[in-house]
Amino acid sequence: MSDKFFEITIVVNGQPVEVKVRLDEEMGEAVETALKASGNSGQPAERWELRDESGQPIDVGKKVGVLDIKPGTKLFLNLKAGVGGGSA
Amino acid sequence: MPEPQFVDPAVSRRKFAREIEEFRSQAEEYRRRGWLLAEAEFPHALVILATPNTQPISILCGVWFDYSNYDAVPPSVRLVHPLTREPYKWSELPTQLPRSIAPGPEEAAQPIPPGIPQVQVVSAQPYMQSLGDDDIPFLCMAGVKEYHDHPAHSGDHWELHRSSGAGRLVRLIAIISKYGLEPVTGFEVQMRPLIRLNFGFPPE
Repeated sequence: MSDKFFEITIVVNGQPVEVKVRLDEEMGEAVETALKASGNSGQPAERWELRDESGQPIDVGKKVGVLDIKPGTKLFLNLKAGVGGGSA
Repeated sequence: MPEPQFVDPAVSRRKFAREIEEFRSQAEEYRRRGWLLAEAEFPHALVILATPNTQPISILCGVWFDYSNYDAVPPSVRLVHPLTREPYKWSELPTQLPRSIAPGPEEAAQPIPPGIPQVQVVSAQPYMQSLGDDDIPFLCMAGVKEYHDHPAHSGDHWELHRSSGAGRLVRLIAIISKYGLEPVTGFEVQMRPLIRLNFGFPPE
């Protein structure tokens, strides 16, 4: 089962992208695929933040199976705020 | 003062329309997070942020976007009164979008004497910035027009961020939500005691 692909949706900065994943791959690989497919090559993957449908952050270092990602799951990937702001 | 449209309006309109369409395509999820698209007419969009974790739900603020000249220029972003669309002054901001800053290497390396409990010092740094209480603050991060227009950020050009979607509507709302909306877990009541002399009944 772990070598079988299934499809999930990763919404990259608002743009939905269909990504095929395996249970035994790290979520970070799916993030890289989604960034490539959406044409977002300007920033490295660690500058992006992945969240589930309820808005909870997802550890991209964990495997898809461990995260209990199922076919049809929708995840949200947004570029982090990065540097900015200042002292109050 | 709004900047005149110098980019082909058809280009900016098409890109703005894409932002709105993509937001609407996921509107159900976004609504559950408290993100409500209230207005969308080129070049402006108003997103209202409501607190999903409070009972009753309340409105934190509105976010007013101006996508003029997008994406030769990043969008202008202001926190506004949700009903009047008036930009908040610094002194009126419902949130300064604070983020926690871990101690720097020098502070972290300070030796702690034995027997003294270890305390992690975390300071907060606001993403909203302003020169004074009566000024209109701006969202100080890459992908926002006011940030890239600021002379202090002349080395961090918009062109460096444009291709990674730094100015996209959902990305900017997600950040404002993370630092402004998500930390809200309930209401805080402040009661100020009034102390004065009790004179009792007046004497005859």
